[in-house]
Amino acid sequence: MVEPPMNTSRRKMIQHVVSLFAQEGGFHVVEKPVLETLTEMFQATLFEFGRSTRMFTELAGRVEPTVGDVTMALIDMGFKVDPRGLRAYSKRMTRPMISAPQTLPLPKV
Amino acid sequence: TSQDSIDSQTGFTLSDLLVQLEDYTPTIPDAVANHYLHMAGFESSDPRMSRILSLAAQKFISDIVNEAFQQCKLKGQAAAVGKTKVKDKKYVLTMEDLIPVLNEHGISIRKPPYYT
Repeated sequence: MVEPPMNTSRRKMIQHVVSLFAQEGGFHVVEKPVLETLTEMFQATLFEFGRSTRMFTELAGRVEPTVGDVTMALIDMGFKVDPRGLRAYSKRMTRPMISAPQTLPLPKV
Repeated sequence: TSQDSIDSQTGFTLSDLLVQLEDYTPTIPDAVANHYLHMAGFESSDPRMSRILSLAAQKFISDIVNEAFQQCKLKGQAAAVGKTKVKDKKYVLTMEDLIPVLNEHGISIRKPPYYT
């Protein structure tokens, strides 16, 4: 697979999010290598989630992923499936927000 | 809380969480998360499905950062013993704080050689 260039705008956005998490955690400064490591980890985790879920969907002979496939993918990757923890995390008060990237209007045909 | 007690009786599953993600905006924009998921071949007509995956990835990174902060704070406290006053302490997330936390998660990470 062709690797995309290292400094895409998406990667910068992930760096932004990681920095926000560090700030939320209580840090004032993040070293550059740490930021890069966490960004790479975030990217790789998301990619692997997607790949693994896809594999479980196809194993069952479907094309549309279900919650069961997501659960299996999480377990397969060694993550603890904790819906309550995830809900608490999604509703936490200190949740940082960033605005969605601006999209260009579709060209007129 | 009362919500938790209801959950413990009925059991809160991932599909119950999925219902609650209908109007949810994760910290990482959906467009960015979807790009990486599409790159891996993941396609779903339900946007909540990718939200649950991006939420799980966010929690993973967030937990690591929080654990690193605990490490950093403990180290800071140990260093501060004996000193008179520590004011405006700046917490810096360094590789030295991150490596033990990642090792605990089973991820081995090393500084590249000759890296300054």
